[in-house]
Amino acid sequence: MSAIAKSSADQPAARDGGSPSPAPGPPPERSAVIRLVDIYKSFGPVKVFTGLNLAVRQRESVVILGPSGTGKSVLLKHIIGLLRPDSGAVYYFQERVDDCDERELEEIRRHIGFLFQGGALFDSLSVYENIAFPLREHTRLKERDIRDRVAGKLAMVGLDGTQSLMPAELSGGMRKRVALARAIALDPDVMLYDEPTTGLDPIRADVINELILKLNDELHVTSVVVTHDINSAYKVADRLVMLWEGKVIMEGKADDFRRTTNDEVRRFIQGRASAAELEGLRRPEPPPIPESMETP
Amino acid sequence: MACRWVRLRNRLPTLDSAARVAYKLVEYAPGIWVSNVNFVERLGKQAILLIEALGNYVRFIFSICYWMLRGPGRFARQQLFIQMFEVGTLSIPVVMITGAFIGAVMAIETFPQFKAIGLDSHIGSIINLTVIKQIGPVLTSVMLAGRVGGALTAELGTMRVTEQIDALRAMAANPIRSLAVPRFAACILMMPVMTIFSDAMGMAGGWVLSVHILGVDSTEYWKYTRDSLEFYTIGTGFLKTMFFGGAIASIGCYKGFNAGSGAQGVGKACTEAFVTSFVVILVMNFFLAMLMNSIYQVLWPSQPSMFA
Repeated sequence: MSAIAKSSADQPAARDGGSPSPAPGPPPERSAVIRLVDIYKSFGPVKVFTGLNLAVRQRESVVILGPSGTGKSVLLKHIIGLLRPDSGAVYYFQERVDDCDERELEEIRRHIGFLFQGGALFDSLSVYENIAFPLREHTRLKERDIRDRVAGKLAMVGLDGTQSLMPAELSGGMRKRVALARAIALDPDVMLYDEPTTGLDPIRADVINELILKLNDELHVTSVVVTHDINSAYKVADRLVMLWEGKVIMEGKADDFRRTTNDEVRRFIQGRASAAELEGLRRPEPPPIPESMETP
Repeated sequence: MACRWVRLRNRLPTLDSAARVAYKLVEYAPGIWVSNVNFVERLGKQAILLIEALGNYVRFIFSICYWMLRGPGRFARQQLFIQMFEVGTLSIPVVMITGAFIGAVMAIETFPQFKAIGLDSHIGSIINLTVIKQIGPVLTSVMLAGRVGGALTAELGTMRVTEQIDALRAMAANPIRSLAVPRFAACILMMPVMTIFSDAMGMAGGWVLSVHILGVDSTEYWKYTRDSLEFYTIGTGFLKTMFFGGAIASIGCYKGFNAGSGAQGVGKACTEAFVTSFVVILVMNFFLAMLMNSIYQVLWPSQPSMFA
């Protein structure tokens, strides 16, 4: 676990204003924080990954794009060890995540924050209790310090003063922001975002995007964002990765994606269905009405 | 010789039928064989699934015990008191009402039998012995299996469906330690307390009916009750409920953690949890009764044995 401990100590200087990383390949001075090597995964007859490879470098913000059902959320769950691949390897620094037992995984997970799609707030606990949960589990902080830390994290997401509310009393956007505050409670080195802007109006979505950028700048985290919101992707990504039929079919900067000639990627970016996908929607031509049955 | 040929010719239709049957057997045998193989295969598959589920459940209980011994953590300790309130305090009215009515029904049903043989003054001993030894603990457990077991499964099943359990794991917390341990401990601790309320109301219900309506003498009612009850009897009643509480909580939590997806999956898990808890309570009650009686015989050999 020495590699994990080292990761937080070796944080480079702050990011240069959220500009995209210059090269798609891993440069020698910036080691890969997360690596997925030749991943195969199936759920019954459904093949989700068929030889997926991906590397995420330190303090990089990578956005995973892809249509629904291509395994974007499954990919995040592989990184954190909630799911294990059928074959292939998942690395967090030098540690092989897919070979770890539950106790070793817990050690890795302390360094990773995960924002779930629906927030996954504990609905029987208040906002305060939700954010205090990881602090109570993994630190020996006194209740007074926990209270200060919770207020600080809520202030970061712009929701200080909502401590006593229950999750059911929050709007969708507020719920995501509280979940984000909970995910960063332990100051993680890596943040995983599962569709952070889905279900939000454009303004709330932009608030979440700004929050992701703010966290990258202030906490110097490595971010992996799964989304199919292309505007959000362009805004927060240093590098974009497109998943298609279980593999990475393209990765590069936002401009590379805008100029691409790859048909699948272009259709995804433009939100345009293929003729084959629309085939099922076409109504069959109605049979001609015989003349004898036509009303005058 | 000719005669023999005639006999053989007469038997030809029979031989022909036998040949047809043999032919049909050869024709259908593979089908019969295959369907039998399929049946055996299905049976085997079900048996393997059952053994696997049982193994997982036993492992689940061992995990709970491991985390209880190792220390449940700050969050689980806080949750314990909340769960004790949910399991215990909120269940008091239900177990009191059911206990009172069961005691009263016992009085109504047993009084004519005892009066017929002139032992109506002994009615207190049978009512209170039955309530304390069997009906109180079992009824309380069954009521809590419905009220608490179902709620546990629904809560944990919904947490699973809405990714809250995944969120726990993602925050490097063990779901068994954080969620199952406080619920398990709360059920074990609160079940005897609930049984006290149920027993007390059962005894009160029986007494009100027997003394104030059926006309049994109150002093004799309590005298015979005191003669028939021993501390061992009362203790076994409470001890049993701790096992029942453990069974309700462990089955409820296990079913909740393994609930299928969606509302249908959670609903199915709740039904399974209640039915399984109910059956387990009754079967466990039988074996615990045998065990307690055997222990009684070892401790007090001069007393009459139930198996003698």
